[in-house]
Amino acid sequence: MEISVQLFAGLREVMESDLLTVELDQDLVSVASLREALETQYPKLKPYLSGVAIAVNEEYILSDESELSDGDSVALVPPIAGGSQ
Amino acid sequence: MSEIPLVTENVLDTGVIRSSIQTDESGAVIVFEGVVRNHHEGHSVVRLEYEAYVEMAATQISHVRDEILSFFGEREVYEVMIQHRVGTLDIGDTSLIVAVSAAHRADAFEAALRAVDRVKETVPVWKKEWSLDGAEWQEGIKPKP
Repeated sequence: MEISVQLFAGLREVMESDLLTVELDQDLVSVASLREALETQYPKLKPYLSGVAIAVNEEYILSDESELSDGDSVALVPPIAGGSQ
Repeated sequence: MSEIPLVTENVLDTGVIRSSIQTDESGAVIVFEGVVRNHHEGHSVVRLEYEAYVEMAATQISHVRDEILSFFGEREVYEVMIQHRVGTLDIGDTSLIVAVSAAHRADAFEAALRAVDRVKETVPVWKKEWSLDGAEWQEGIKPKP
């Protein structure tokens, strides 16, 4: 399975790309295994991953056990700072 | 009402947002504006650049609206409208509008405050702060859906 992951803001600048492709052996992929694969395939992401939320189809994923399906829209959401103070 | 974009690069129009939440039952209308200011943690700011995951930001803004209407439903909060601007904003520009109509002022204030807090906790928007020394992404918070 191949998953495309969107990046934004500071993460996009660190990775110099707004889209990463992650290769996974399994057909059923949990959010936890996606995190592991991201860390392995993109070591530069490692320091940021613990502070990043994962969104699938525009919703935050609350459990790392959640499984991804083909065609899901996946994004890494770094710490947010909307509005004003 | 659905024609009002929840996330936009255009200048926010408080008049449009205000009339979108007005109901004949409302005795209180709150229109909150988040505004770009010229300082942050002791240093000067010359402008802010807002970036959003636009589709998800709109989805999360809709969730905040639904959440507030449901939470305050029995307290006669009638309408909630939230709009976030993205792109490069100057000092004094409005980046966020949260508008609430309710039967009574206390509920309107409380619902508006909670809505602003929930926007900041859930809507995927980031801001890059421009100062005389250069630009830096402002530290944010981990989303709390």
